[in-house]
Amino acid sequence: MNFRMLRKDLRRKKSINLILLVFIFLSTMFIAGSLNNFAVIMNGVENFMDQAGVKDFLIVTMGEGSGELSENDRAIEEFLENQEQVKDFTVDDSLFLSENQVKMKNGKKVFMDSTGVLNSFPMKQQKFFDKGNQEITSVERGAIYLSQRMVEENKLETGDVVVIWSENGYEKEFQVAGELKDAFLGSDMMGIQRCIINEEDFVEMMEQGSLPYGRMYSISCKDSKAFQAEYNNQDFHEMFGADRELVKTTYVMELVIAAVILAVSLCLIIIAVIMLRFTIVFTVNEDYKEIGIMKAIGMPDASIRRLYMIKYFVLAAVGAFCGFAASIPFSRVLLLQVTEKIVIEGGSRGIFLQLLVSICIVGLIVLFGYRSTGKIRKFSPMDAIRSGNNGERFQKKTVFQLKNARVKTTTFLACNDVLSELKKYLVLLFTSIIGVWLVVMPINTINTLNSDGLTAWFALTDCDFYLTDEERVIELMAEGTKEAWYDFLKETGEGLEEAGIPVEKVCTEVFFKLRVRKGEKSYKSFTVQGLGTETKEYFYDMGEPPIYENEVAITHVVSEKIDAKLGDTVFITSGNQEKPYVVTAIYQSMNNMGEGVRFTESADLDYREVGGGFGTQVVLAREQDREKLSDIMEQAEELFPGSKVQTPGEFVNHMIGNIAGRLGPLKALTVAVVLAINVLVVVLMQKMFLIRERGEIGMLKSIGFSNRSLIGWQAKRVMLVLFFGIVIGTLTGAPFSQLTSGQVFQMMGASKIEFVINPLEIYVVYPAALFVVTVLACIIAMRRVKRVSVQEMNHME
Amino acid sequence: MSEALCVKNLCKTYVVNKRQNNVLKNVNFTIEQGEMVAVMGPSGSGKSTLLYSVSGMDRPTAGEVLLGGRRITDLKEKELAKVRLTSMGFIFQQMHMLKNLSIMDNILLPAYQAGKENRTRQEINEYCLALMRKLGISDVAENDITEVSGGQLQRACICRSLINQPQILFADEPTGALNRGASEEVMKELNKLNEEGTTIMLVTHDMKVAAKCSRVLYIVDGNIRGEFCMEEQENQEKLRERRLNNWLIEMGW
Repeated sequence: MNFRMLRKDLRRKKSINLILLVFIFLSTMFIAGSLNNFAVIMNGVENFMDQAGVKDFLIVTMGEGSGELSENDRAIEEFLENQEQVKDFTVDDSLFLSENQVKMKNGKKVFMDSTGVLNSFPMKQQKFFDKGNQEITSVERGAIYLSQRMVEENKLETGDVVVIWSENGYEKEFQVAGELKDAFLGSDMMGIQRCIINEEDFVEMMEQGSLPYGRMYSISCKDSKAFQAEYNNQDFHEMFGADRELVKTTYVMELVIAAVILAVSLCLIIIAVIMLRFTIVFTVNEDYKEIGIMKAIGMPDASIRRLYMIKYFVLAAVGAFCGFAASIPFSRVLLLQVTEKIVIEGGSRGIFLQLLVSICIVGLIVLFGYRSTGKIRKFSPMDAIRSGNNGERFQKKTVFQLKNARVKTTTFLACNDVLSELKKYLVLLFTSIIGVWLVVMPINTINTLNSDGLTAWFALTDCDFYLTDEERVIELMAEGTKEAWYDFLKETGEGLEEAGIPVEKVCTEVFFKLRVRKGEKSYKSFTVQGLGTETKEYFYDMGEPPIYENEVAITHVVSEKIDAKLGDTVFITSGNQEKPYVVTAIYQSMNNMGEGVRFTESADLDYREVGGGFGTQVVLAREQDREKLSDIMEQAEELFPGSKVQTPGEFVNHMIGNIAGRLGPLKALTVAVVLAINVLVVVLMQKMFLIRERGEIGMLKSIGFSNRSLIGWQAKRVMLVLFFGIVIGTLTGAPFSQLTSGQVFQMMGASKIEFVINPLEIYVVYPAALFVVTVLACIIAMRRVKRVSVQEMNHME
Repeated sequence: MSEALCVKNLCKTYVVNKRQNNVLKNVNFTIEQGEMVAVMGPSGSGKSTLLYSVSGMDRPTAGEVLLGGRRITDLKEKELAKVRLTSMGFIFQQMHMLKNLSIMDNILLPAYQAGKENRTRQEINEYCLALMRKLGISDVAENDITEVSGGQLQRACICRSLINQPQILFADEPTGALNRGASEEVMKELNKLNEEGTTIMLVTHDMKVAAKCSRVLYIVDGNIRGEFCMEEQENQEKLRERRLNNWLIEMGW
C-alpha cells in the first residue's frame, strides 16, 4: 500500500518532486565536487612534494669550471657529513645554461627568462612527472624534457628539436620529449628552471666542459629548523639554499588560483545547503494537505511519517547518486586550472571522498525531512490541512498600503510580497550576494596583478619600461664589480640617447643573498642595492629611508625573523666581513616571500656575491615621449636585440608567472558558473513559487490581470531581491577579495593590500550582466503563468 | 431592454485519459440588462463550467458568447483579461484574496490595475469606501484578510467585483461557504445591487438563493432543460420559494 501511494505521489506531483530531485542533484554535485577540490588543493603542494620525494633542505651551487669540485662545494659536503642534524643527503651534478645557449634547430632563440639547469635522468634528488601527471621513468638518448615555462613561452611541442650550444663551438641536438612537472624548481617564482636529459648525454656534455658546472644537494634532516639555523651561520655561496617549506611557498601564485577555486567551492557549498533546506521545507509544506487528510482518516503519525521518509530517501538516493556521478567531471574541470604546474592527487581517494559526501547528503536530506515532518505529531488534521498554519497570526502581514502607493500595482505587489515574506527570498538574496563576490574577487585580483602599481608591492621604483638581458646580467655577475654594473647602465643610457630617446634616468637593482644577524638570531636574506636610484624613491611603511652607507631598511618578514625593530643595529656579512647597519625603515615586499633588506647606493658590498639583477629601469626625460611609449619600446627592442622590453606591469606579471593571464580563463569559468547558478536558483525557485501561488495567479487572472502583468509582478519580485543582493554583494566584494586572494598576497609578504578596482567593471558591467541574465531567465521561466487557468484558484490556501 | 449576455450553441469538451467528456452541449440562452439569473442543476451537470465559459474565464470548445453585444469567445488572452478587468465582476464560492494585502487594498487592486482612464486614485478610493460602507464593511478596511469573518470577506469580494463598475456580475455559489446569517446578508446585498441595475448571473445549489432571482435556468448533463421565470407580483419570499420548489421537482431536482 505504502509503495503504491509513493508511486502515485511521485507521478502526480511530478513538478515539485522533479524540482526537489534537481536541487538534490545540483547540491550533491556542488558539495561533493567542491569538498574534493578543497581537500586536494589544501594538501596539493605537500602531496606533490611527497610524490616527487623532495627532501627537507635543498642547496644549489654553481661553480666556475667544469666537472671539478670547487672549494665551496667541498666545504658544503664536509659540513653535511659532519652535521649532526643531517640524517642523509644526496648530490647530483648540474650544468648551467644561459638563455642564449638554447635555440631551435632553425636558429631561433628559445626564451628562458631565468637561469637554466641541466640534470641527468634519473636524479637522486627527486622524481619527475609529465604533463599528464605520469611519472617519468626513462629518458631516451637524444631526448630532453623541458621546463613547463620553456614549453609554454616558446610554444614548443613534443618532437621539436632544440640545440644546446656553447661558445667553444660545441653543439648538441635534442628532441623535445615533453614538459616537466618539477616539484623543486617548477614554480614560476623560482629563479632557476630545469631540463633533464639521458645520463649518457649528460656525461658527454660534462666531459666537453664548456658549460658551468654546479651541484644540487638534497638533505634529510632530523630537525630542519635546527639544521637551517646551523647552515645560516656558515658562509657558503649558493644559488639556492632553503628548506622544503620555502620551496612550497614558491607555489604561492598557484594558491591565488587555488584561492579562487576554493572560494568558488566554498560558496557553492553554502548555496547548495541553503537551497537544499529551502526546497525540503517547501516540499514538506506542500505535503501538509495530504498529511492532514491521512490524519483525518485515522492513519497513525508513524505510518504517515514513514511514508514521507521513504519518499525523501528515494528522491535523495537517486539525486545524490546522479550528483555524485556529475561531481567527478565537475571537480576535474575546476582542478584543471591548478594542475598546470603541480601533480594533483585525484584517483580513488578523491572519488571515495565524493562518494562519502554524497552519502552524507542523503543522510542530511533524510534528516531535514525527518525534522520537517516531525511537526505532524503536534498537529490536528485541521492544522495540517492549513499547511502548518493554525490561522492565528500575531503580526500584520501587510507592510505597505496600496491606496498610499504611487507605483504600478504589479510593482506594489512585488515590493509588498518581498517585504511581507522576506524569508522566502533569502535563498535568492544570498545566492546573488555570493555570486557577485565570486565574480568580483578574480576581477579585482587580475586588475591588481595587471596594474603598474604592482611594482611598488615588489619594492621596485616606478619607471616607464624595463630592459631585461639575462645574458648580460650573467656576464656582469662574472665580472663581480660595482663599476661594471655602472658602466652597463651608462652604456644603456647613451645607447638610448643616441637613438633620440632622451632619458632622465637608467637604473637597476642588484640582489644578494646575505646573512643578517641581530644578537643570536641570524637569517640569510634576500638583499637589494639600487644603482642609479635613491632609497627615498621607494615606499616604506615605517621610519625614514636609509641615507648613509651604514643604514638599511628591512621588510616586516626580516624584522620578525631576527626580531629587529626601527633603530636597532643589525650585522650583515658581505665578502666574509660582518658590518653593523642601523635599521631606519621597515617596508613590505612580495619579493622572495616578503624577505628583503635595502642598502643605500653607497653601501660597500662585495659584488662577487651578486645573485642577479632586476631588469634595467628606464625613466624617460620628456613627457611627450610617454604618450608614444609603445613606439619607444619598439625602438628600444630594435636597439637592444638581446633584451626583453616590458612595461612595469608586464615585468612584474612575468616575474610572477603571468598569473593574471592564467586567472583570465578562471574568471570566465567563475562568471559562467555564477550565471548558471543564479539562473538555476531563480528558475527553480520561480517554478516552486508557481506551484504554490497558482491559486493567487488564478485569482488575479479572474479579476483581469493579464499574463504580462502577472509575469511583471513575478519578475519584479526577483528584480527587487536581485537588486539588493547585487548591491550588497558589490559593496562587500572588496572585503571578500581581501579575505580570499588578499591572504595569498599576504603570504607573499605584502602586509597591506589595496586592490585595484575598475569601477566600470565592478560596479556596472558585471553586476548589470548578472542582473539582466537572471531576470531574463526568470521572465522565460514565468511564461508558464500562461498555462495557469482561473480554476487553479481552488488551490489557494 | 437590451441583451447583457447572449450565449449561442456553446459547447465545452474535456479529454480525460483519451476519453472525450462533453460537459456543455449546444447551450443557448440570453440574459437581459438588469436581470438576475440563477443557474441550478445537480452536481456534475456543468453549472460551473457554463459560468466560467460564458464569463471568459475558460475557453469554450465551440459556440459564441456576446457580452454587451461584443463577441468575447474569439478575443486574445490580453483582450479577454481587459474585459474581465473592466466589464465584468466575479464572485467565487471561496473568498479568494491576496493574503499580503489588507481588505481595502484587495478591493482596490483591480481598480488600480485598470489604470486611471476615467477616475483619479482619489475618486477610486472614495468609491471603494462608499462600496464598503454600502456593504457594511468599512470598519474592517485596514484589517488583514485573516482578521474578518467569512461573511465580511465575501462582502469584500463583492466590493472587489464591483470596483470597476462592471456591466455584469458572475457569482459561483456566492453563499456556498457561508453560514445562514452571512448568506442572507450577502444575498440582500446582491439583490440591492440588482435593483440598482447591475446584471447578475449566479450558480447555486441553494433554492433560497435562486428564489431571490428573476429567472432560473435548470441544467442537466450540459443542456438547459428548463427555465423558470418569477412573476412580477411574486414578491412574497415564501411563495416564490414554494413555486420554484414545485418547478424544480418537476424538473427532477
